[in-house]
Amino acid sequence: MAIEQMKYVSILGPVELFQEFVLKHIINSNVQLEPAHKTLNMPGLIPFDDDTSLDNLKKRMRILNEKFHVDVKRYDEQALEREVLSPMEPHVIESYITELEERIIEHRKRIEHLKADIQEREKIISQLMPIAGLKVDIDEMFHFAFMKFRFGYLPRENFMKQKEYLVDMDVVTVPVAEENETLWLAYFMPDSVSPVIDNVFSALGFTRVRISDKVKGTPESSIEALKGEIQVLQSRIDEEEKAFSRYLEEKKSNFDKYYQRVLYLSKVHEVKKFSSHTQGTFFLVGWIPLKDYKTFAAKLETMREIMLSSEDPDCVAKVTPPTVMKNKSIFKPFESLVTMYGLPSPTEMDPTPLLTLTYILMFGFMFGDVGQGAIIALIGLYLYKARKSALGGVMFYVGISSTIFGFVYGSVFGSEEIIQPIWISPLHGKDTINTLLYLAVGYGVLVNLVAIIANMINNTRMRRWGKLLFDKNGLAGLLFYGGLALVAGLSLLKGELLFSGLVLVVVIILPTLMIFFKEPLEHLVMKKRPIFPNEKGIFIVESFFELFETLLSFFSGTVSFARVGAFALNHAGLSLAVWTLYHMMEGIGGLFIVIIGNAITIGLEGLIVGIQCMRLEYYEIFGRFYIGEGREFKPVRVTED
Amino acid sequence: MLSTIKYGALSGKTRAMFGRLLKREHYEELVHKKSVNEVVSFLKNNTHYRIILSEVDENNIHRGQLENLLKHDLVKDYEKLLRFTHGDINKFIDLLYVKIEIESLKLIFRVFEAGHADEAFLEDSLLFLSNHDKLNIPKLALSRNIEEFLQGLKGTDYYDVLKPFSSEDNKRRLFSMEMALDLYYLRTEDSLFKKMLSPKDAAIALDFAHIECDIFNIFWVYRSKIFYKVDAEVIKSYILPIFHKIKRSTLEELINAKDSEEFAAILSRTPYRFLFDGQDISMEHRYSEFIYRLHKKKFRQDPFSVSCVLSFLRMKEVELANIISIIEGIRYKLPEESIKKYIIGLNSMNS
Repeated sequence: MAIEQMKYVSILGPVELFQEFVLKHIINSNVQLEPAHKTLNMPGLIPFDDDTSLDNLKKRMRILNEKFHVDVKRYDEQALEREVLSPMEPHVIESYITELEERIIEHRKRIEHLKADIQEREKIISQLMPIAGLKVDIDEMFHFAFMKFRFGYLPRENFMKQKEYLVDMDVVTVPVAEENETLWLAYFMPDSVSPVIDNVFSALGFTRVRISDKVKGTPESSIEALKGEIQVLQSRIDEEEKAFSRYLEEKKSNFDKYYQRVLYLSKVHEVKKFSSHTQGTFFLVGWIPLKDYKTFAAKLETMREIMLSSEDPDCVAKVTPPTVMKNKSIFKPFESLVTMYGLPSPTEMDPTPLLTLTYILMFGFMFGDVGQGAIIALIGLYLYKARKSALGGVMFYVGISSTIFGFVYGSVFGSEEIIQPIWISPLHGKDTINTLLYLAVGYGVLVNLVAIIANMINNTRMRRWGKLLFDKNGLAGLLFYGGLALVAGLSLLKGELLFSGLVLVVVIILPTLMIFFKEPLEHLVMKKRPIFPNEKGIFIVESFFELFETLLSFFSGTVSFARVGAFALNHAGLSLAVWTLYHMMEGIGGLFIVIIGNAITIGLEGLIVGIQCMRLEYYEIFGRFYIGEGREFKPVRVTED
Repeated sequence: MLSTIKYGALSGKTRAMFGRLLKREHYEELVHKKSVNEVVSFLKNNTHYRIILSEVDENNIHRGQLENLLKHDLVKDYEKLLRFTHGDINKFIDLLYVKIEIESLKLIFRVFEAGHADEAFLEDSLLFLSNHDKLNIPKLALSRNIEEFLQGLKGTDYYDVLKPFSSEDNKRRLFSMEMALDLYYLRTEDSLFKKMLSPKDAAIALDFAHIECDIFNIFWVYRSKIFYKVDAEVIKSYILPIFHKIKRSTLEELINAKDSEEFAAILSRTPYRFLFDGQDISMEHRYSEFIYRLHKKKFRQDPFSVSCVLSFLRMKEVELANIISIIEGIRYKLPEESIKKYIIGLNSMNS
């Protein structure tokens, strides 16, 4: 339960070996790089030139991969030698890719043409249908001496908006069919004006289809012939599709090989951006988790040309190490909730375990039900295992907690008649409501105290002695808040108010003074001068309000936890409503009500309770001690990003 | 009262942005400059362009780069304003943005036609289309010709608008496509403003949109008629059937006018007679001047209406056009006085 220890490594080696070294030992080796020229202070260090030669290729291959669906592979050293490091003319891949692209475009064009041909014939058929009975040769119809005839299609909107103008012109239009905003029509006009009218129609986006080229003979025989042609075209589409998928299958293995090569090599170029070099030596600096460091160092040990030096993070002033959280598998899903707030910085405690325990406990307390909890847990388990969703893991654990609390409250799917409560049933019995609320507040006091202690641990780690002692979430706060809690608790137990001069001094006066004079006291401890700020008046006013705010926030932060109890009652109330409705409706209807009611309870209240828990975690608990300004660990990996 | 609440924030924002626009004295200063670099340096040190120019080395900037930056500045303004609005006004601003998209598309087509389109250029210009989720920008940037590019536009309205005109054997392809885009924009404005805006706002926005339609028709008739001698029927087929202050019959008269004198005479019976006032400046410039004043007036008159964003954006566009005119004037070594003539709204601007 903590944050993974990091090791700061610097690597030197001969420039000739850069590519091979990076491929074998940096990429996919869990190393995060830092820009060398920023971190190393050395004269004569120059960055590598940007190499963007592969960028274009990579982009094109990524688009092609939408057809091939090739995955990124991880290579071992032999495979790297074979697949990536073996020499290859750069234009080989380029021309291979170009060929593929052209074939794909070709394919698309062919299919489109075939489809357009089919559509054309279908439209001609519908054009011929009305005159199917005529026993006239079509060819003759289209070659009148004084009339011109055109058939084709255009966007419907273009036609509609110019309709009024067309009325004035010497042209007769006959719409034939309409689909998806495309209008198929025929128009007739006198031969003498045909060039002008044709121009007008082409301005409207008219695409002409030449019927006379397609059909011969009488309408009836033409329609038959066209139908036959459509069938032929359809089978040609199928053939083309088959040929194309065969082609892709054929090309896949080579494409795969080239794709991996380009991905790996362009990653090397990316690494180059972080690296710097002198005449003959390259420099790389970065972070590696301590657990991987040993094998990494051992591997590099065997290479004579490569020099590795390492430092602990404490000794590195310029850059802060990235954060990798390391938690037991129970806590793992809850890391996502922490990350949502912010990653812990290396000097901080990882709050995941604390969050996990408090979250699970609160959820069950607020939403205790054997049946509903089990359902949430099952859904969570499915999401976690099948979908690898961290939220699923969270749901699984809170579901179990809910089930356990269900036994405590004696609630199964909202019904309180099936099992006896181990402890109390929230809405039954005399003082249960108050008991629950008090208990929730008591729980809040405990959590607040833990948060204050966590803050003190963090301050110790960061060597902020002033904050450790005098902050409202430091020793001063602990004395005040913890002291009051203790006094209140003991008084309740004994049944009389335990109060004395000593208690007054230790619990109230001392902490108040500490918080009031926090700034000068901190300066004193941290040896900052001047101890008192120059503007005394402002200082006093500010300190007073800060003190006031502190007291208020302790109070509100505690009462805030009453909601934990309130939601437990709320849950019982909602369940009661569902079962009351059930009793009003007998039989199938009642069953229906119970199912719907439970679904609503799980969906609606599960969500609200989950969110309320988050709110308490982030606002009341994290707010006291957690900063969360860590950096994400981003090792160099070849993945589809 | 309601509109005061609705437009409070937006109006405040645009008024602040309006206050930062270039003033008369800035322009007076700018026309003195001797080189593009001096212009950039002045803009960088004295005006609101300091933000967008902060990363720029004024001694080493190309005219094209500057134009691109200015365009980005306008896009940024759109984004800024979007943060102050929601709902229908957001949609309205998005619709205004379509104009920028269309201009970018036109530029891309022209460059394709000239055979200069490469990945870097496309990536730059395509930035203006990144509002569309459906578009795969990296893929589009790799297109090698107009057909491939159009294929990539599938899923947007532009694809449907352009498809009928895109076949390779269309001799007037570029013209048809540009025309189709313009018509598409004007028609969309006309049909959507009424749907997305309140009656009062729609009236303001439609007034501007309809003037644009009228002007589009007049310009089209004038150019095709006088310069290119296009057949009357073809001219008619491109007429946008939205008529505002010029009737369809008047437009037909214009189409049948014998020469530019007769054209001017017919136009002088309409509110657009100003287009032919005076000699030494173009019709387009006169229109810009007219519309600039109109926007300025509306911007003041109706602070709590859609005009606060519409007019601001149009005035900002005028400013960008002015800067580009000045740079071109300097580049072609025009005397200061002639450059000033190209600055829109200079005379109606307070110093």
